[in-house]
Amino acid sequence: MISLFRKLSWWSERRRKEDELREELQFHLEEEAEQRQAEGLTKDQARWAACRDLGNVLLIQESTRAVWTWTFLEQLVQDLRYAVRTMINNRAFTALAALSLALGIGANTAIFSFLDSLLLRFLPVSDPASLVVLNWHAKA
Amino acid sequence: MNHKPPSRVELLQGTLDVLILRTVLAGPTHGHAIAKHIQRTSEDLLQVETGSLYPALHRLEAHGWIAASWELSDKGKRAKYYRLTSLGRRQLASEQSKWQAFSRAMGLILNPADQEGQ
Repeated sequence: MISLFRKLSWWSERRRKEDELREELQFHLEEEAEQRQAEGLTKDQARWAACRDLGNVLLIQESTRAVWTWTFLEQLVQDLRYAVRTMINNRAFTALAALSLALGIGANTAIFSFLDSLLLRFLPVSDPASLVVLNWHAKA
Repeated sequence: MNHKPPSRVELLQGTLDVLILRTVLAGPTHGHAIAKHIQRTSEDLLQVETGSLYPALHRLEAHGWIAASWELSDKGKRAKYYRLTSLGRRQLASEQSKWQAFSRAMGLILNPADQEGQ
């Protein structure tokens, strides 16, 4: 529950969180470089060693960012936006797809409501079971 | 150098969280110092990958077990310091007892000599 509120507030200040994470990793890098320099490496060597130790910064940012929010929701929104864009760019296809869906759903609905009233529902009288069919024949 | 580097032990899934919580128990610490502390205290057996350290720190913060604040490091640079919250203290206690029970159980099975002697 706490986690939910915290994530919501983090989501509203994503930009600042991004900058902070960059600064945090930068600090890590500098700290590591200084430590390696103190161990006897030259400045450049120390810096490279620290970079190697830190690894792929973008990947770290990515996986840390994934903690802040709901990756699932973000990706869902991305997918939806992509879908809308594609449909707007491809109107004929969209219209055709919508038309075939409309026809399919419409035909099914029509047939079902027909069969429904014919076969599934009781007749609209008070005691349908007591109905009988009477046939009259004139003698030949 | 002809001494062999100490062989590293892979961190088990879910152990990093409790290691971090235990490390920040001592007082506010920044990410780099947390990684170094775990490495040093485990006699270099445990190597904390930066790629899992920072996501873990932010996850713990999201849980409310640790809180972060920007402060000046001892060298006068701005750094993000993490400290244990009271919620985190409770979490640490429960994790700790879980791990102690687990490692005792593993020890009992892997070193049955203790029982055979009796």
